[in-house]
Amino acid sequence: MAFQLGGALLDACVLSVVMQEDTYGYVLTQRVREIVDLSESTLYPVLRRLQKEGFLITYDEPYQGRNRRYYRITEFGKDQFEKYVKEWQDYKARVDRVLLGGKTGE
Amino acid sequence: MNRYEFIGELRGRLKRLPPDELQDAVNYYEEYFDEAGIGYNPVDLSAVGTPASVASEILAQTAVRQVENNPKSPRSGILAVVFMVLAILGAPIALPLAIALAAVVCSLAVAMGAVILALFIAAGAVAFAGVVALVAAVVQLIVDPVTGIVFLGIALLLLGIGIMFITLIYFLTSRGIPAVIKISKKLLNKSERGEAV
Repeated sequence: MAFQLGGALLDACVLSVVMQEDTYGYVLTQRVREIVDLSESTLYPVLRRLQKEGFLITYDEPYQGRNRRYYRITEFGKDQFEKYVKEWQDYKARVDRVLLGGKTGE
Repeated sequence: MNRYEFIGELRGRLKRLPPDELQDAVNYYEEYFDEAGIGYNPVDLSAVGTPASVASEILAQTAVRQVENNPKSPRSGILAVVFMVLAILGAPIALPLAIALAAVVCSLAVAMGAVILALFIAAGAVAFAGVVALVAAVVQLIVDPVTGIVFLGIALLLLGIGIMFITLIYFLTSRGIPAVIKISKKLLNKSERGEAV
C-alpha cells in the first residue's frame, strides 16, 4: 500500500477495535492487520504505551491452563478515541477536497 | 528464527528494564505464540517481525516516559539518555546511521548539561556578588547615603539577574532534556521507517 499508517492513526485504530469489545493481543493484532500491513509483533509497544497513558487497562483470564491478557478501554481512552475520530474526519475532508478536486478537473 | 530464539533475544535486549516490565513483554509474546499456534520448532517468523525493533521501540518509550515523569531529576535525565542510546544502537537500522544518531543524542544531552551547569555557576556568582553589594550598601547608607543608594541599586540588580538565571535553569532542566529525548525518538522512528521502505 502506498499510504503508511502509524502514530496517531494506528493508536486510533487500536482504540477503535478495543471500543467494540475487550480483546487480547492475538485477536487485536489480526483485527488491526485487516487495515494495516504491520508485522505481528508491532502492536505490543503500542498497547504498552496506550496502557501507560491511561487509555487501556488489562486483566487476565485463564484459558486452557494458560493466561489471556485482555485489553479494555477506559473512560479516558473513550474520550481520546472520540477526539481521534473528530480529527480524522476533519483531516479526511481536507484531503478529499484536494485529491478529489484534482479528479474532477481531469 | 524460532520462538525460543525470539523470546531469548527479546530478553537480552530488554535486560536493563525493570524486571516486571521485561516479564510483561515476554508474557505478551509467549501468549501470542500460543494463540498463533507457533511452537518451539524452527519456523519462519518473518511475518512476526524482529525482537530488535520491538525492543528498540520499548526502550525509546521508556526513555520518553522517564523524562516525562521526572523532568527535573538529573538522574532520570541521564537514565533517559542511556535508554535512548540503547534504543538507537539496538534498532534495526544501518550501523553508521545508528552511531551517528546516538552521537547526536549524547552531544545534545551533554551540551544541555554544560549550559545548565554554566548557568548554575553564573547564578551562584551573581547572587554572591549581590549579597556582598547588599552588605556594602547597608554600611554605606550610614556613612554616605548617596553612595549607599547606588550600592543598593547594584545589589538589587545583581540579585534580579541571579533570579533570572535560576528561572532559566529551571526552564532548561524541565524542558531541555525531555525535548532532546522526544526529538531523538522522532528521528529514530523516521530512520526505521526509512530503512523499511
